[in-house]
Order: sequence, then C-alpha cells, then structure tokens
Amino acid sequence: MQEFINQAKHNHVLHDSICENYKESYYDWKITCLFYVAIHYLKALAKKRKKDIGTSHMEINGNIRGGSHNASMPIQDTARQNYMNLYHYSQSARYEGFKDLKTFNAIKKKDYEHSLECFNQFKKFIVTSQVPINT
Amino acid sequence: MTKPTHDITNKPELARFVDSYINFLDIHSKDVKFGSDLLDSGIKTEFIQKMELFMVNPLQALLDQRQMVDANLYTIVDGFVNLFFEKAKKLNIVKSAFKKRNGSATMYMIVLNQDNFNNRNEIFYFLDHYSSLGVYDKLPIYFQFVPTELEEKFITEESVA
Repeated sequence: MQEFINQAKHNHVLHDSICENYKESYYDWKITCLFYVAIHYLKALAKKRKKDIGTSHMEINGNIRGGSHNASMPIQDTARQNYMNLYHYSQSARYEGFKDLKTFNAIKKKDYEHSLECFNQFKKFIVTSQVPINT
Repeated sequence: MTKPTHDITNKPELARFVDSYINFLDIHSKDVKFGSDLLDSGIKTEFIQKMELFMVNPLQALLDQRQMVDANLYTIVDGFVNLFFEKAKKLNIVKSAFKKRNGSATMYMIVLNQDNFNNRNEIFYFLDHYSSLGVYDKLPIYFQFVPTELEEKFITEESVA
C-alpha cells in the first residue's frame, strides 16, 4: 500500500509546485496531477482491502462501480462520482483540439476549481477509509 | 435445437427484426443476381464493383468497409448524445452545445445556463453512464464546459443543442 501512497505524494508535490509557480496557468496539468494523486489513493485503498481493481482506467472505473455485478471494490456513490469527475476532467484536459491558448486557459480554470472540489471530497473519503495518506 | 426454458427476449420485437433481416437478404440476393445478369453484358453495378475490389485489393476493400462501419457507429453515438442534450436543454440545464470530431474522439463543448458544480455533476452522470457501456476506449467522447462569455468562440463548430 505504501508504494501507492508514496506515488500519490510524489504527484501531489508536482501539483503544489505547479500551483506555486504558475498560479494562473497550466490548469490542464494541475487537473492531470490531481487525477493521478486520486488514482494512487484508490490503488492504496484497494491494496489495503486486498482487492484487485485492475490496471487500465476502464477496469478501475468498472471495479469501483456500485451496483455492478462484477465490481471487485464498489465504493460509495459520492466518492465514485468525485473520482469519475476527476477522470473525465483529466481526459478532456489532454484533448488537443484547442488552438486558442487564452480560451483554453479560461475554460480550464473553471474545470480546475471543480476538480479541486472533487479531489478534496475524494480525499476525505480515502482518509475515512483508513488509508494513512497523511502520515 | 432445444429451446431455452426461460426465453427473456421480446419475441414480437425479435421476430420483427428477424423478418426484416430475411427481407434484407431477399433484396440483397436480387441485387446480386441483377448485377450478375448485367455483368454478362459487360456492365458492373456498384455492388459488383465492390466485389471486384475485394478480389483485386482486399485491404482497400476492408478499409472501405471499416470506414462505413465507423460512420455508422458515429451516427449512433451522435444520436445517443444529442438525445441527452435535447433533454438537458428542456430541463434548462444546458444553454447550448457544440461538437468537434478529432479522429475517433468527439469533443462536446457545453454551455450551461448556470455553471455550478451541481449542474456539471448532472452532465457528468451521463458521461459516466456512457463510459460504462464498454465502448468508451473505442468511441471516446469528451465533455468540455464553456463559460457563457466564451460561447461565441465555439459558434463556428457544429451545434448539437
């Protein structure tokens, strides 16, 4: 479990560093970092619960879905929704269809605000699930 | 063949589908026969030309088939997503939406009437449902929320709501 917590911390440091150095830009990377912190929290939780949630995004997304017959580690609906929101934001953050950087930055800023809210909620779920991410 | 004891299929609907397929095969068979008759006169119908392509350049013929299948898949996905946007617009959640295709991926730019976390979550519920269908990695769609003041930047894209 600790290896995933360490990886989450590693990504979190990068997120904080981007925020510190680029307060009003690189929201796409801030979002991406948050998602990759969250996915490692999730993997740590799976390790703690001795569950195999797979390796690909599709496998992981399916294995945490409540109500799914084959899900190996269903989690609370709200926690899953927050995780999936982060997943979707990180997917669209890496979409290369925008040429106007100013517009791109403006729309990603709002995405980041919501991502941060989802991340903080998801982190609370991880903490209450007894994953020692703050030690 | 033994019939299943618990047939959960909708028989009338399935029967209609099977009948439609028999009709399709009947029409197709007539088309092929018609093409065969014309070929004797040196004329190649569109279908006979496709058969010829399969003989002389099977890779190109298969790629053409794939293109046709892809186009059909995109049409189905478009219809599914557009239906959602119509409903979301009626519910006064979505103000407008635009579509941009990039390879197999489709980006939808969405302007909400009220851009808040609750309304974003409502839109993401649908995306979550779509991603659970098992086709997401082959036919990905992305949602990008757009602030109202930036809506004009996207009006040149294809409007879907």
